[in-house]
Amino acid sequence: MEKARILIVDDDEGILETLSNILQETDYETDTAKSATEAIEKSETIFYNVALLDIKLPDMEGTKLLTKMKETRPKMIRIMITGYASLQNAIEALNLGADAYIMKPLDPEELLRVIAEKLKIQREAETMNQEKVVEWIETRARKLENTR
Amino acid sequence: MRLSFPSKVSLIVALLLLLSIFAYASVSIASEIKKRTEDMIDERKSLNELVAYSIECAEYQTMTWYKKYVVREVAKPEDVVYCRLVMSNGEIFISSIKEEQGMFILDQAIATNETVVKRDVFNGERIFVIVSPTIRDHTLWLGFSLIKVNETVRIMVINTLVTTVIIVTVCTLISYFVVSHFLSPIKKLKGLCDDISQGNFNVRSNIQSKDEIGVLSNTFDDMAGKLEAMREEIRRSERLSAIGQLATMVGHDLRNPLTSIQNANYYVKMKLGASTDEKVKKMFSIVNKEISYANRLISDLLDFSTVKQPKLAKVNLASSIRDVLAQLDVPENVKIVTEFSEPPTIEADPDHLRRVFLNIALNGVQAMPNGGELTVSVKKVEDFVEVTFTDTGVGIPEEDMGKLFTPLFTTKSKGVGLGLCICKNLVEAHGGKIHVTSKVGAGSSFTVKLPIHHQNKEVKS
Repeated sequence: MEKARILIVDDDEGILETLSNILQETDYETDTAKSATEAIEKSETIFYNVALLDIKLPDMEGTKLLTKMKETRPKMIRIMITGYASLQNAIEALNLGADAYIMKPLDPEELLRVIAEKLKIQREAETMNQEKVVEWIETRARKLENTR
Repeated sequence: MRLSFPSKVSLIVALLLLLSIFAYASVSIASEIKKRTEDMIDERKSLNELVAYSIECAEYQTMTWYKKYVVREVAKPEDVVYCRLVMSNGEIFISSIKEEQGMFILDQAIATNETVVKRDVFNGERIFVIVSPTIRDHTLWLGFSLIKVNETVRIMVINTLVTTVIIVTVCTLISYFVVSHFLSPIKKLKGLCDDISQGNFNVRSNIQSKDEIGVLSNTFDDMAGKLEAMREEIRRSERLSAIGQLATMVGHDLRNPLTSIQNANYYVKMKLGASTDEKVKKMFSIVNKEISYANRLISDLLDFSTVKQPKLAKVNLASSIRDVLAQLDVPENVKIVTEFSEPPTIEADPDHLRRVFLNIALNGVQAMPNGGELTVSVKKVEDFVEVTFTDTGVGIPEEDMGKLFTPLFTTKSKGVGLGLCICKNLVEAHGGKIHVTSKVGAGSSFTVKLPIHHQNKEVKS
């Protein structure tokens, strides 16, 4: 199976590098973006399965980036990462279409668990789609056969 | 014109004195004038009667020179205007005034044979005239002015004026100085008020007197004390708010490096896998423990600097407390005792409650380095529940009791001293209170008193 691609968006280089290393070690492909603009550019050219978004970015609020990415890449899993948990923040992020919400300093194990869980759901949905296509083709084929 | 208070008072005193002295003097001078006038008339009347009787007695019947002599003598005093002997037909027989002409008839005196006193005007001067009949149907006329009385009255008036001026001046000065003296505390208070408006609240009048001014000074001192305390409070909260803002900033920024450290630690652990020896594993766990401690500090700072409104829900106290106690890292020599069966369900923010209970329980455990017992009991008192954590630890010294809930106060080597302060804020936001009793060497007891129901507040079921 193809490796899942993860885009990490954060302006802190230390976080980008350490997270990349952990994710690569866990057998994911990673890419990083230091700003919202870079993240948008990259996500438009390549499909990422998951995006980890810091809530505070130098050029744009993380929540705004979240909405933008929801429009351009609706199937991408979007996980918000925030420095300070408040119910308000969490509700806002989830309302704006985040799939999950993780607090800094993030526990790598928890992050990996959430990513794995969300990827599983994504894959299942994809399989479902594939199955539907297969099913549709099969029905069409059968119909064709019958008409013949 | 602006007048000072002492000037006003002394002016009023002067006016009142003038008024009363004037009233008294005018009454007494008027009565004196009357009395002296009457006396003078009486005196002159008896003199005139005597002279009238004697002047024409038989012996001196023909002695005109003698009569002239008597008339002249009688007219001698300064105030006597004239003396004349008038015949029964009204013609002047003898007069003290040279070559006096005229007719002077006064029937009344002759008819009644009695002395008559009347007012008259002579040469534009107001005089009294006494007419006494003689034994030969003549009349003796004595005219005199009141210059003697007037002179006396003049002296009286002058004396009164001088005395008045002296009395009024002295009294005015005395009242000025007395009032000024009474006002000196007010002047002092005014100065202190100026000090206060300049921002110096550390001023006290210390005026020990039991009168109204003393009461005012006491009130003033009270006020100054309260202002000072209030400013201290404002300064403190300003400082705390500055600390809070700084904490929020630093806290946010600290979480990034913490995340990197944690990630790096995790990555290295991943890489080394299970092959590493025990010491390295121990190091990894120390890094993790310290990161979570640092993170807790940041959370405390952020919690402290943000005001949190409780999100009310129905909370089962028993399970909330049991959850907290289960989370607690209890050393072997510390025993936890719970003394409650089924406490009531209350309306509170479950997260806040957990934080408060955890903090207090943790303090209790940490207060017993040599072991002991932490007892948790729940009691329902009217519309409140009281959750009490009692430890058998070192206790809190008397002098620290007042500072327990002040931010940044701590006796622990680790910690910034925000825990109890946050607890207090959280409990008070619920409309509750935290109460502490402690005895050094015997242990401490923290009671959290919370209302069971909240009025006018939304409760999630």
